[in-house]
Amino acid sequence: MRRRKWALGIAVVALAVPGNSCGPFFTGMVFVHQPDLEDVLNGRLGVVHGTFSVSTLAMSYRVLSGVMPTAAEKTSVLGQADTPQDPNNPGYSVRANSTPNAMNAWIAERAEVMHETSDAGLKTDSNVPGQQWDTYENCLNDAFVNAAKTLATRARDHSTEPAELAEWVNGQDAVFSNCNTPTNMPAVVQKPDWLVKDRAYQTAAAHFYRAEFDEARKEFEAIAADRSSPWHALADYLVGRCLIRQATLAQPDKADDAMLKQAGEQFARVAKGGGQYAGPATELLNFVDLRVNPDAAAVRLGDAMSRPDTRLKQHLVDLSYLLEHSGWPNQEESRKSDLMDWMLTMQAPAKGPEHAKERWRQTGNVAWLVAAMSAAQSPDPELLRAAAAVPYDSPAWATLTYLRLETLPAGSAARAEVEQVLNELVQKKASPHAVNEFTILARQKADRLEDFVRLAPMEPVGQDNDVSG
Amino acid sequence: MVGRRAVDWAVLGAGLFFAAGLHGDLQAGDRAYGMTGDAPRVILWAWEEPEDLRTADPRQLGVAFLAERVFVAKDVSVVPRRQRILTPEGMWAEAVVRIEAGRDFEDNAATRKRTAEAVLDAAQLSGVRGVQVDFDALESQRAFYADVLRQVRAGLPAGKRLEMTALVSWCSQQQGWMRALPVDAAVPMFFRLGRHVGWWGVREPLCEGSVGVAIDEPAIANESLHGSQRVYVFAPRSWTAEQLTELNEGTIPRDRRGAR
Repeated sequence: MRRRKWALGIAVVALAVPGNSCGPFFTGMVFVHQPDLEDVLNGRLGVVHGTFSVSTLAMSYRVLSGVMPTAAEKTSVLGQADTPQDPNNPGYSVRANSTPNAMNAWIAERAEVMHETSDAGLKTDSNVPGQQWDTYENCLNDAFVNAAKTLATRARDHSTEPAELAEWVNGQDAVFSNCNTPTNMPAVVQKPDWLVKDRAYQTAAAHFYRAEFDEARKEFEAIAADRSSPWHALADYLVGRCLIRQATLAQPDKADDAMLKQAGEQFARVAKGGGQYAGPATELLNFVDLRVNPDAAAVRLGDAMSRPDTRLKQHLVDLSYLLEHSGWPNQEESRKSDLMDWMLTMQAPAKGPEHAKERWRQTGNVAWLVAAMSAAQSPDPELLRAAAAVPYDSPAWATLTYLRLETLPAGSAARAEVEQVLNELVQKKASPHAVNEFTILARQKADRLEDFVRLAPMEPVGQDNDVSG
Repeated sequence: MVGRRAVDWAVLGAGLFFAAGLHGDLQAGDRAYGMTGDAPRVILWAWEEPEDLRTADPRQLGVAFLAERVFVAKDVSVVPRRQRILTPEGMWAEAVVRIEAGRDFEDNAATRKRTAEAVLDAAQLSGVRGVQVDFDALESQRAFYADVLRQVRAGLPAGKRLEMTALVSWCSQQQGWMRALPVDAAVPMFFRLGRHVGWWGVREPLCEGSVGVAIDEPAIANESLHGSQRVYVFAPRSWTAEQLTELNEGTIPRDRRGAR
């Protein structure tokens, strides 16, 4: 009998196989989450919390401040057309909005002028120097748009010079031959003057696409100094782009900060001078400052987004990159922007109850009343009176009512007051997020089990499949 | 007498203890990944994020990096990898091609050919042992996908592997649509399964050699090393040096940061 038990024990041990010992797994229900960005852009904020994502919090500020997002901003942020650049990308450049057929425009223009069809499908990506698997978008849409427009203009203005026009096209073909790998350089020309000036620009552009940035920069600087060149303003801007490309592509694992700062100075100068390239220069100044001068970038982004902003989508991406990126030691300087000040206060309310209240008194902006109420350590009669006076149609109403009722001591009176608001929200078909927030608050105020149980059911707003077993 | 009986029951108890599945957990503390064929047993998926894998131990870990995204609509457009990826010398590597079917997806000879060419381009990248295709094909897109894989197989140089990722539902079918696909292996993705989270029975032989897990779903990820399959590990954000250290030491790290 004893031997049998030993044999059985050994057999069981020997036959044991690796098992999947965890589980079963269950899907969790989510009852309170941040509102969809679309709801926020349409003014349906629910209860605003400092834990919202950067984009949601920034847009909450806009709505609370009474500067409702425009139709164009909503389309840009929610749509797919205006794809923002990822700040992580090497060789970052501002991309023209929605020009998916830019290369086709160039091919079509070239075919029309030259009466011949070139090969379609130029490759626009180049390998990062020294790397085997990663690429950067070398020739951007704007390059093809610019080439097509210029060719149309030259064909119109120089229709009696077919040989020179053909040489211009040869030069441009050489430029674009470098988009994928260094191939051809435009030939040197001696005349006429318009072609010489265009050729100088084409030569610099070819060096740029070949990643020969020192040569390209010197040539663009020379063109920028030549006030008679039609390219002098653009060349001034492209000097900065040479520096960015060089700074981001030169080293395998990090950008050259000194070179980025130099690029930033160039873009700041171009932006300050106004003109056609001031806007793109400001965008690239943001790119640089996100890395080397984050306070300045934050102030500029915050100020831009505080009012209707044609590049809102890109700015939300940039600000998210900034606030989620470690290594920003001193954020305090960025409080020069009211939006940034408000966001930082909302994200760390314990640091700023007095500051938020002071800002509310100074500005009268209900966004700051929300921040002050969120940051208050104890019930503040002045804030509570102001919160109670905010009308129902204010986007701040749900937040301020929630924060006001939260201060009430638990008991049947508080529970009844919260439930009254809750019923109103349900009747007015408020978002399930807001309804659930007030349901939970009512439950917290309940002092009888039957009330607690009655308030238990809630409608889920999502599922949590993040199994952490 | 009482002592003997206690010993008997202890032996039985120990047997049951191991049989209950804890054997696997104990074994996990003493693991060296080893190799499966010519590849390390653990392969890091490196998606479109900046990746610095230079501290990964190439004897222990390989990489399957996103090399291209292929968007199939009326035309086919290809976006090559934009994000930096740095690897240690000699790291086993394969290129991953992600195929996305747009709303105006068109299945015709031209889109099939162009898609296959894009996959073959990725297979030509220097230092890669093969190519892995990632396409969550709808039922209506399976003929397209199968033909693309056939064209890729026909054009792939000898010695290069052709793999695919697979929904676990595909792998759970005994005579499913994957059976005739000309791939060397399929990696069932045991993550982002929603309410169906957990281990599914794998009945498709192509799926038997590997599992795909994610480090933000650690219950599944931790168990993946218990078997003998190759383990593909996905991180929702860039791999960190700390995570690579854990992987070098034989543990799958846990990520609570969530997707970007």
